[in-house]
Amino acid sequence: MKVKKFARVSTSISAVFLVVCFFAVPIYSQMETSGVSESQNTTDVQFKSKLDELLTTVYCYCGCERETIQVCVCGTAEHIEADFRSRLSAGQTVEVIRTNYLDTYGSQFYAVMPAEGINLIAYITPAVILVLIGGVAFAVLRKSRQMPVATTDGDGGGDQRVSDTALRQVEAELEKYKNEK
Amino acid sequence: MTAEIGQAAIYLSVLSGLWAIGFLCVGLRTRNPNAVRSGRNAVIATFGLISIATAALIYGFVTDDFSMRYVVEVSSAAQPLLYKVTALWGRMSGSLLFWLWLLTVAGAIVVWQNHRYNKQTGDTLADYALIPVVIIQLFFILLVTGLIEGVYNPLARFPNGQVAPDGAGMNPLLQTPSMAFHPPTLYIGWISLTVPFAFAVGALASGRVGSDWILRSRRWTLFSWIVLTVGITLGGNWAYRELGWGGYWAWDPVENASFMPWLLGTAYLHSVMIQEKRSMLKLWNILLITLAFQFTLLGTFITRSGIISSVHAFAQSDIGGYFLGFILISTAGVVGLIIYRWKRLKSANRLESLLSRESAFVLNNWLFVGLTLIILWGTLWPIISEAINGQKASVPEAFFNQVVIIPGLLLLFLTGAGPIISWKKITANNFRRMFSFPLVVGLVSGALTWGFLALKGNTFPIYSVLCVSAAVFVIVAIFAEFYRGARLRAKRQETSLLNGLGLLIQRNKRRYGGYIIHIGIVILYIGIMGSKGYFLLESDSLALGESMQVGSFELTMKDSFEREYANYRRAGVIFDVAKNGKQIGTMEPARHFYYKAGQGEQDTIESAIRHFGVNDLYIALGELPANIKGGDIVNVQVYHNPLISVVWIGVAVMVIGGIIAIAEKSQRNQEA
Repeated sequence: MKVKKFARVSTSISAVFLVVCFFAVPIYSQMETSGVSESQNTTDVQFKSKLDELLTTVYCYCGCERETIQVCVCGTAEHIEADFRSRLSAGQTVEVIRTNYLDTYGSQFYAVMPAEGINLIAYITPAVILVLIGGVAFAVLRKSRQMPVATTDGDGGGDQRVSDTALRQVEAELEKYKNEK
Repeated sequence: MTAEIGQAAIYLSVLSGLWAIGFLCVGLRTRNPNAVRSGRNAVIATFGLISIATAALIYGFVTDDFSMRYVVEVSSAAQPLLYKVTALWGRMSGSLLFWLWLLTVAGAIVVWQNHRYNKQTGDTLADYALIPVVIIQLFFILLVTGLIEGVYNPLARFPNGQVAPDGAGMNPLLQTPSMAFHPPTLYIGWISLTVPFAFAVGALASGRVGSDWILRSRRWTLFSWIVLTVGITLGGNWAYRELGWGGYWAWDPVENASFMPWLLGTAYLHSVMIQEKRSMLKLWNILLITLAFQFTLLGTFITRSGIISSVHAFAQSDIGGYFLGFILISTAGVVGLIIYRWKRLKSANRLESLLSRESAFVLNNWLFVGLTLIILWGTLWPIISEAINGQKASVPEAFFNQVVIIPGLLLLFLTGAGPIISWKKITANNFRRMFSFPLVVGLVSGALTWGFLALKGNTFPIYSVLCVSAAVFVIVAIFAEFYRGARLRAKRQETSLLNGLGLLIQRNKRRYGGYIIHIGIVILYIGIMGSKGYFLLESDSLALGESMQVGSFELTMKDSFEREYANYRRAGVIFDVAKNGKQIGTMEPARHFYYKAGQGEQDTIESAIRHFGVNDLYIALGELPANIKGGDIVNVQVYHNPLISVVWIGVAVMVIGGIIAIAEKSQRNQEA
C-alpha cells in the first residue's frame, strides 16, 4: 500500500516537474534575452549588442537554409548586415529594423519563436506528449502487474522455470565442460 | 544500349518481384517447398536485375553518356571519377534506384543467411519475412520505372536521340568525401531496419510471435543502429566542414528525419531485451519496429515532398504523396495482422515491480518515443502553424534545444541506472549496493562543477551542471559494473584484472558492448554540452596584413592564393595563427568555385579547421573578391569550438561498443 502511494506521489511530482521545466526553459531564456535588450540603449558597446540581437534573430534570405545573418557567410548576409548597421546608426530601433526585414522577406525568416500566441501551443505540446506517453506507460506497467499471464506458445522466449535438481545438473555439466576445456 | 538493358532489367524486376510474392505466398500457404524455393530464387533474380540496372547507370556516368537525362543532370565530363560514381545518389531518381538496389541486396542476404537453416529445419519464418521485403522492393521498382508521375526513370534517354555536349555536374556541396559516404550509410541503415520490420510482419503472418523473429533479426537491428550512427555523424561532420556555420547539428528537418528512426531503433534495441528475457512487450516490440521502419519513409516524405524547406531542397520532387500512401497502406496492413494475432501477443509474464530493470526499459522507451514525437512535432510545426493561422512559423534550433533538454537528461541518467538495476525487482539492499556510490559521486561532481563555474564568474545554465552530474553517475555506475565483473572473472580464472576484463567482454559481448555504447553516449553528451554551450564566435572584415583576436588566438591575414583543379578553382587566404602571442602555424580557409555548364560558377565554403586537443579553431570566409589584393576586404568568421572532438570520439566509442555487441552469435548460430 505504501509502495503504491509512493509510486503515485512520485509520478505526480515527476509530471508536475516536467511541465514546470518545460515552461521554465523558454520563459527563463526569454527573460534573459529581454533583460539584455532593455538595459542596452546608451553606450557604443551596446550598439554591437543591438546589432548582434538583429543578426541572431533573423535568417538570411539568400537560400542558405536556417542560417542567421550572424553565421551565414554569403554576400547577401554581408549586405544585410551593412544595412542593419547603417539603420542602427541612423537611430532606428532593433524592433523597427527587424519588423521591416520580416515584412519585406516574410515571417519565415524570423529565427526566434517566442512562446506566445499560437506558438505557445508548440512549446506546451512536447510536455503534453511526454506526460501523456508517460501516463500510458505507467498505466500499462500497473496493469501488467495485475493481469493474468498467457501461457507460452512454445516458440521460445518464455520464462522457463527450472527445478533445483535440473539447475544442479546444468552446473555440473558446465563444470565438466570447463575442466575438459 | 547499356541504358536500354538497364531499363529492361527494371521492367523485368517487376515480374520477378510479383513472381517472388506469388510463389512465396502460395508455397507457404500450401506448404509446398518447391514453390517457396522458386519464390526465394525470384528474390535473388530481382537482386540480379536491379544490379544490372544500377551497373548500367554507373556505366553511363563513367563513360559520360550525355544522352541520358540523369547523367546530364548530376555529372559532367570533368567531374572526378569518385563523384561520377557517387552521382548515382546525387538526385531523386538515382537515389531511389540506389535505395532499391540496397533493398534487393538485403533480400538476397536474407535468402542466403537462412538457406541452410531453412533446409535443415524446414523453418519458414525467413520466407514469411521475405514477402514484406519484396512488397517494399516493388514499391520502389514502381517509382523508378518512370511510369508514374513525379519521378522519371534514371536510365531514360533524351527523346529523339538528343545528346547534351556536357553535364551540369553534381551539386558542388555534395562533391566532398563525407558526402560520398554519408548518404549510402544512411540508406544502408534504413534498409537494414527494413529487415527486422519484415521479420516482425513475418512473425505476425506466421503466428510465431515469440522471440524467434527478434533473435533472427537481432544482428540486422544492431547493424542498422551502428550504420545509422555513423551515417548521421558523417552528415554532421559534412555540415561542420562544408556549410561554414561552425556547427554540426541544427535540427534541420533532414537531420531530424535521419535521427528519428535512430531514436526508435535505439528504443527497440532495449525493449527486445525484455521480450527475450521475460517474454513481455510482444505487441510493443512489433509496434516499435513498425514505427521505426515507417519513420525511415516518413523522413523521406518530409524532406523530399517540399512541404518543409530543408538543406535537402535540391532533392525535392513530387514523390511525397506516394511515400505517404505507402506508409498508410503498410501501417494498415500491420495493424490488421496485429488484430488477427491479438490473442498471441499477450505477455507470458507479468511485471513484478515498478522498480525493476523492465520498468527502467519501459521508461527508456517512453523517453525515446516521446523524444521522437517531440522532434516530429517541431519538424511539422511550420505546416501546423500555417494551417492554423496562415503563417508558416520557422522553428529555430533553440526551440529543439529547449524541449529536448529534460528528456535528454533523464535518458542520460537511465543510461547509468538501466545497467545496474536488477531484473524483476530491486531490493533496498540492491539499491544501496549499486546506486549509492555512483549517485554520491555524481552529485558531488555536479556540486563541484557548479562551484568551479561560479568561482570563475561564468554564466552557465543549470542543465550543464545536471549533465555533468548525470554523466559522472553513469560513468561510475558502468565502470563499477565492469570492475565487479572483471574481478569475479579474474578470481575464477586466477588471472589478472585486465585479463578478467577481456574474458568478461568476450563471454558476454552483447551486454558489455552495450555498456561501452553507454560510455560513448556519455562522452557524446559532454561533447555536445561543451561545443553547443560554450563556443565563441567572432566576425570581422579584414584586409591583407590585418589581424583579429578570438579568445587567446590572434589571426593575421598574411596572403591569398588561387589554385586550379579539374572542375573547380580553389581561392582563399592564408592566416598566421598565434596563441597567447606564440606563433603556432597557418590556416587556409577557402572557397571552391565549380564550373557549371551554362550556369557560370557555383561556390562552396571550405572552412579551415585546426584541432587543439579536443577544441577546434574554425575559420570560414565570406564572399571573395577576384584576385585578392592589398586593399580588398574579406569577411571572416572565426569560431572557437570547445570539446568538439569529444563529439566524434563519443560516436567512435559508441560504434566500437556496437561492433562488440554485434559480434555475439545469436542462439541459433551457436546451436549450428
